[in-house]
Amino acid sequence: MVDKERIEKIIVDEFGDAVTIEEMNPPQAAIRINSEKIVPLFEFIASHPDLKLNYLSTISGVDLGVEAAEIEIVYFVSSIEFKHKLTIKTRIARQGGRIDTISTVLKGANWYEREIWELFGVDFGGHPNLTRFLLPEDWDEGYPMLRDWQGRNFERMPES
Amino acid sequence: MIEPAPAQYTEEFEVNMGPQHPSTHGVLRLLLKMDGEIIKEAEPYIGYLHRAIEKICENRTYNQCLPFLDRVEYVTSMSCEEVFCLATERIAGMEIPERAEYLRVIMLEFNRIASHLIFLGTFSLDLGAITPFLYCLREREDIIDLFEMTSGQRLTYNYIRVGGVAADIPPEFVPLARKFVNMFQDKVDDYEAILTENPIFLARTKDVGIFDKDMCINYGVSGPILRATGVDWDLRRDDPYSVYDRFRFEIPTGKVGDTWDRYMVRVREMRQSNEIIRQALDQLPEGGTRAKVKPAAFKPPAGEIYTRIENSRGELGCHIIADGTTKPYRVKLRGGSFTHTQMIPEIAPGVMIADLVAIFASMDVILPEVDR
Repeated sequence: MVDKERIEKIIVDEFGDAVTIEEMNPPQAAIRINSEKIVPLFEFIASHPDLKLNYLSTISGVDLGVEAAEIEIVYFVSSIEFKHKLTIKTRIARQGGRIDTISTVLKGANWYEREIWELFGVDFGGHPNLTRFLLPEDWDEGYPMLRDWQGRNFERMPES
Repeated sequence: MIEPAPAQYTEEFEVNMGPQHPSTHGVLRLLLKMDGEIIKEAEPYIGYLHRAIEKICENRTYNQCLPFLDRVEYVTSMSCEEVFCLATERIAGMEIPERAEYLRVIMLEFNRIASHLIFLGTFSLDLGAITPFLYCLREREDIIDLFEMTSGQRLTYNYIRVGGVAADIPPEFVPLARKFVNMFQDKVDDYEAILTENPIFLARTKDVGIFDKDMCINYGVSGPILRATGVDWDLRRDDPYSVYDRFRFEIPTGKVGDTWDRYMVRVREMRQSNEIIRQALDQLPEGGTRAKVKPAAFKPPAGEIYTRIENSRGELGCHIIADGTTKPYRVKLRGGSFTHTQMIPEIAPGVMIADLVAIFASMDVILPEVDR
């Protein structure tokens, strides 16, 4: 087990300005990275002898809304050998956002990225198979997980 | 003059396995490219059960989300409730009463046994053995009765709530649970007598579908499938939650990662869960079962967390972002089955179609959780 500060320091030392330490509530080991550096980051943390963060739990997409005009991609990785974990965040544009796939490093990322592509409209460069799989084949109502999405039969519940 | 017969030639052909195939355990469609009986390529098609539960949760209050989460993985609904409540409680920094923690552990472990019994029954059914299915569902019925007397439901319980559990157990619960715990080890012996050393069962499972350890980690595989390859990784111990640190239990692992190992890991896990329930019943404290929360106007402070628990199908995770209102800003669910299904194109080539049925059954995938 490597503690939070040490994990963050190893990564900041390697990537310099591209990485900032992210404060989360409740406190967790977390960093924010420039979206262009995502593949080198995953290659680094999966092979570093003190980190071995080679187990990807999932990738989550978060729409930050129309005003922020950004989508946050959140990666949750952990190390089976050392039993520590890390949250990695990065942001890309809401319209026409593009980020490189990490399925070349961790094959499990394939479907998680495909899901974000389908529900948020994020393009993953170099992804082997970006095709519909959760929504119907003839879906034409846009990207349903965006916050301002309007679709058939969808009503927002009033704020109580 | 007779022409010489041409050399034997077989053409590759495509087979649709599912979506209504009995051994796909729900509505999964596998498009198989076959050379005779050997699979060349396999491509899973999912989405038949997509109900947009993540989107629905953005539009409901925290307690209104729970009935939907039950339906994400209906075989172990308790885990889905637990992971969501755990995440919400961690964001809110809420302490829950000790009795509620113990009741949660008892329910989760009973649910794990019930889920593994379904696995064992359908797995043996897929291999052609019908008796274990009847035995397994008989014991599962006892567990379902316990759930029914506590929560009023047999499948989607809505029992674990933010801040504790919905209601205390009725007085008959503990004696009946003890009766189950005392007889269950013998019942597992019965299942093992039918299957474990059965030559037909061994021929179908031993050295069939060997998963490589590194490949499994690379795909993010967790739970019994990962443990069957020899990786000692169980979130109950390695990312502790609830009161699991107060119980003594072993974490079974396999050696080679074949279908038989995956079967054996689950059978041994049932025995361990049984012992956890026994210890929890012994230690069960008195007291309240729910922290004070206003159900309708419950507002956790702004925060974000990814919580994960050990489900019967591996890591079940929940990423919640709270923005200080009564509704979660984002709920993302991560289930083991989704991750395991995407491994099929990797493991299927070179396997006989009948063995794919055995391998897929041993992965214990449940489709509602894949599609969400």
